Amino acid sequence: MNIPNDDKITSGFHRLREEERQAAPPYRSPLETVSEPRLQPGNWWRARFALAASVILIAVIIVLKPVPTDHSGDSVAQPPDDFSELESMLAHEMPTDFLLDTPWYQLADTTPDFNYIFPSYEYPEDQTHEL
Amino acid sequence: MAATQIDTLASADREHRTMSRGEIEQLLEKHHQDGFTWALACCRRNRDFAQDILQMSYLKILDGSARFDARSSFRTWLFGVIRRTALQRTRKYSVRERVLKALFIGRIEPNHQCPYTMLEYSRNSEELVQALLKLSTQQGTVLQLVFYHDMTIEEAALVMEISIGSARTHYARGKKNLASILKGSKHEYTQ
Repeated sequence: MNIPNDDKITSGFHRLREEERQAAPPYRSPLETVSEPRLQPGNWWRARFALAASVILIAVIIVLKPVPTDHSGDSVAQPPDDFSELESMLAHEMPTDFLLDTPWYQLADTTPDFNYIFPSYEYPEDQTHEL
Repeated sequence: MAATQIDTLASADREHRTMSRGEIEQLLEKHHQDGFTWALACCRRNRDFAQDILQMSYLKILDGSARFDARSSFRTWLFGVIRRTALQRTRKYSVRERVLKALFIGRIEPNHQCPYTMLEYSRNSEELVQALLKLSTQQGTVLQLVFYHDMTIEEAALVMEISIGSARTHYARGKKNLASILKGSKHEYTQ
């Protein structure tokens, strides 16, 4: 049976104590580590008042802000005088246009003929000259 | 009669006088190393937790949440505050830590402990620390208080908030178990 030796246990613990004591951080008062001072009661009410005032001010600005009138519909787009630029754009061929030439692509550009016969309609005579 | 009245007031003042913050800080500084090593023992030798608990205990003492009533020595009382703070912290975070470990760390490496939070020990001390961690909490605590902090079993019982009889039982069993755990080590703890 093992009988524990108190002296040996004590010396082992003391050696451990010395090692752990060396690792102890220096004493610092926890109150010194608080960097920001806490708000006093008076300051606290002032801070709340300032917060509430700023919220109300923002709300008032949003409500009273003038809504810009949309005048974009007033102007009518004028057709260009010179179509040469448009024609050149239409005439331009992209180098990748050939990729659009898929098999049977012509089907997409043509309307199939189902031999539909439009009904005949007699147009009334022009009576504008009588008005 | 006036002199008697003054004596009475003076003694009343002595008994009920609360310590000033400066006096408390002086005592805390004096016992700082002991407090740190005891906090280490309460946190399974995790240095970061020990520092946190020590700071939380100091705050409790300085803001008056924990008051020294001179029923024991200041050091014994401080150890009690540190132990209680460590227990509160453990209860507060144990569930969260278990869940996080199970989700993120447990799958990679079971019982993972960050090496940066542990102290570096000599071989003998490392063996002793590992043996202490294998003991039950009560046995390890009473041995730590008696052999490491040179307390009597009565003082250890005060810190642990258990009866002296229980403390004696934990002490005897703990010492025996510690010796059997360290039986094969180079540094023999038996005779």
